[in-house]
Amino acid sequence: MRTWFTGSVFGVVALVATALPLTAWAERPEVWEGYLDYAYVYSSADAENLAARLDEYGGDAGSSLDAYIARHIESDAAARQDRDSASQQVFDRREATAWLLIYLARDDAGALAKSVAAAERLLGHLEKAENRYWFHYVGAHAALEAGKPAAFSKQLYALWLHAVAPLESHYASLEALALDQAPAAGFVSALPYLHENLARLILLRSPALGVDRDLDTLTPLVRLLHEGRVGAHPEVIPLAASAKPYLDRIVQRLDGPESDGGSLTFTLALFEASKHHNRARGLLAGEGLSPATLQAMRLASGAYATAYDRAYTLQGRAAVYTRGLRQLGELYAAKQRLGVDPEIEVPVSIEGAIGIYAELHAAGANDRWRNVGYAEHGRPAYIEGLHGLWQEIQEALLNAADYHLASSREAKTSRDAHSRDAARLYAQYLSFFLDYANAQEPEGVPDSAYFAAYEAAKGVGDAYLFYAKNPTGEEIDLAVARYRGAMSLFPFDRGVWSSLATALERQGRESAYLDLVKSTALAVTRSRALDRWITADRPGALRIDRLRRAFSDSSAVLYLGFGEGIPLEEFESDLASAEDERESARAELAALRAERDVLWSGVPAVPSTVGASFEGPVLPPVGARRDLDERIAKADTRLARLERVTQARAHVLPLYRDTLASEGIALEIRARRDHPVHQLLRRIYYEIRS
Amino acid sequence: MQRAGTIVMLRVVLLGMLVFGLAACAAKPPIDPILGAKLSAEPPPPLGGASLAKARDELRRAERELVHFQKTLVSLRQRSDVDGHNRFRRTVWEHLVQQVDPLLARAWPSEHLELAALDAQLRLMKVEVLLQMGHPLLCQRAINDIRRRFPDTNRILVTAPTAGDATLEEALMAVQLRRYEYPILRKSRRTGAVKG
Repeated sequence: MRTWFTGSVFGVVALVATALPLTAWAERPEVWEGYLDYAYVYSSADAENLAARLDEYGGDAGSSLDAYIARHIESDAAARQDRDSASQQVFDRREATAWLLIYLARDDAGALAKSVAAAERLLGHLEKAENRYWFHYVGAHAALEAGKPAAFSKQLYALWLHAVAPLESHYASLEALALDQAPAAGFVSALPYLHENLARLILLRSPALGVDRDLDTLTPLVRLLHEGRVGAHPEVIPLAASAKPYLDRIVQRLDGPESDGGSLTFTLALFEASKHHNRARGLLAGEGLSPATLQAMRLASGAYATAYDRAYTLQGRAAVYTRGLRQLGELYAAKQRLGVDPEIEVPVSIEGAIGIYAELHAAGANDRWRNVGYAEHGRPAYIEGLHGLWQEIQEALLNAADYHLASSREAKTSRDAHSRDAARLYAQYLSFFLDYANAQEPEGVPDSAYFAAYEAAKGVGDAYLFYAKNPTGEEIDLAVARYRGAMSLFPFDRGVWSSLATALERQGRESAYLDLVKSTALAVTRSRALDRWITADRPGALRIDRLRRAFSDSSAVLYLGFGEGIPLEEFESDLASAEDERESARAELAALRAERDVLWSGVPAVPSTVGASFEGPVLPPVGARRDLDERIAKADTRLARLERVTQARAHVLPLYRDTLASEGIALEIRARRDHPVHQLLRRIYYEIRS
Repeated sequence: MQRAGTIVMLRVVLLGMLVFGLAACAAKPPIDPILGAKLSAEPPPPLGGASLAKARDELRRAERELVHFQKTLVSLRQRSDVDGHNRFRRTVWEHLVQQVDPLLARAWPSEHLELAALDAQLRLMKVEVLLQMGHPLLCQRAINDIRRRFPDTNRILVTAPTAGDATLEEALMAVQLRRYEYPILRKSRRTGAVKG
């Protein structure tokens, strides 16, 4: 019993003796010191990841970062007096770094203030690159937090000039000798991380904190970081963890047609808007026009409005309009698809975009395009900018018109209003198209515009003919004119030929069909551009060639107009029955002729020799003869008609069958703005009108 | 009379201090007593190897930096961003003083067979940057310095931001003709209109 008691006491004492100091012994401040000295490696992580890292490091060190600061930094304030200058600056740097990490992980502005206070104590020790880096890095964060872009830019240039640039030459020398990661390399080996941190601070942190103006002075830094610095050391920072792809996209935008004379402020604002737009697009695809989608769309609209506000050049305004119109077009497409009409404001209008296009187009004369923002990027970028804006105007107008057409079918009371709205929008595009396609220099008109003009012309006709409740005579006249226009812009859609026939039927002028379409059919069959296209076997050549052959035959052209909606099998069975009828007519005629032969067979032949006995002919009755002759004549006429019918049908049916192969061309090229057939349509347009 | 004499004395003393100060600035750095005169002097120009590559990289890097700075100065001017232009001018000035001028202060790169063209290119970019900063006199001074260093400016090919690929002479002429075209941007206090 006593032994048991003594043993128990010893056990408890031993447990307490080992357990109590366990926390004190397990805490290893040197671990935090190490992590803080290398904080440039991970300080740019996003808040969530950074917080997770700090927790993990706290586990390694046996205490959280807050506890480390409380026990080893703040409590040591009194010890500051005793430390020498060298060790004090290390302490101050670690303190500045530690508070900065807490600020970044928890968005705690108080921690940033403490970090700034500690960094300012480094002022007397800026001879060390490491101190200079943290001093300016903390200062840059403080400027961002205060929303002061000028101070932010100043801190970053100081960081570049005093901390980064002096290391570069030395790093290159060490790297050449594979000494860049040597223990004695010191802070020089941090250079890839410094580049990375600088890039993230400008590109990610500043937009996140809403600093979205006066950043243009940082453009050279972004370009310098892009030139063989960020992402240049994949062995140190893997590309997947680098800001390189993001930086690439930003520099591409700075140099591309969507720039604003090379303004970083504008590029970041437009990029931010694009991110919101992409998010809205993703939500739209996944959830339709849900409240979350609408909210994302509103955010994107706001961001586009900000970008427009930041744009100084016409180039920048055109870039915002190009993207803003894309959102508008998507919205109309979604409204049509989902059958809902949400209330949402878009910062751009089609009329505004047409105005911007007009300004931009006018700048093409006398090389004035250089003055509107494209001086650095050259004329190809200017033309690309014109094309981009045009295509978005085109898509927005066509989508909006399509939406009204679809609505007119569903709306009972406002059917006429919707169909006429659609016609008005299509007509707006046609007017826009004609203004520039027939201008002296139509290079600002993209290839896809000609097919879009066909869609608009056909749309005007459809809106009046098929969607309006009671179209007027003038409207039907206009529909006929637009169908003819559509046919000349894109003759390879069988639908438009039959729509024209229907319109003429409504007017009671079906007989005018062939005269009206003849000129287009002739133009296509004689087109040299088309011939070259087919000879060179360019995309769609085979199908287009079949159509061209059909256009050369007036019977096939009639089939195109009046045969739409009749299944091919019906034509084939008609031909077969016509052939059967012809065969039976042939047989009937042959039988009648045989009958006539029999009738005449009882009549003896006149003797050939003189003097032979001849009793005289016994002729068939006159009535029977006349009846038989009439029946033979009728059968003959019928056979001749049937021969003509079967011959014509047999000739045209293969041609018509070939035209069926053209189905789908319109859909294919509508889906692809860069489809090669767009080039062909452009050439045909000018060839016909030359 | 006595007062006039005191003033003259004061002037003489001040002049002496000025001369002494200038002489001190112009003097060579003090010779390290242990290293001696030979080892304390500027290292000899590199003829090849890593040192030459390093010198070449430094000149190229500095030139690329100035190319981007010049572009940004042009862009800020085109956008009439007076505050941004003025702020950036200060940044570029500091950069010139701390990063570029020490490289250009060395005499040997201008005479070095492999570095002369790079050195000329960097000097030309500095001239272009000074032009965009609105310093015509400094610009002219830098042009004169280039002409002094490179007597035959027709034999050196450079890439100028405005003249494109040209001889150094053509590029310098192009800058010289434009040196008063880019004054410092100012905003009118009354109307807010941008001048310059």
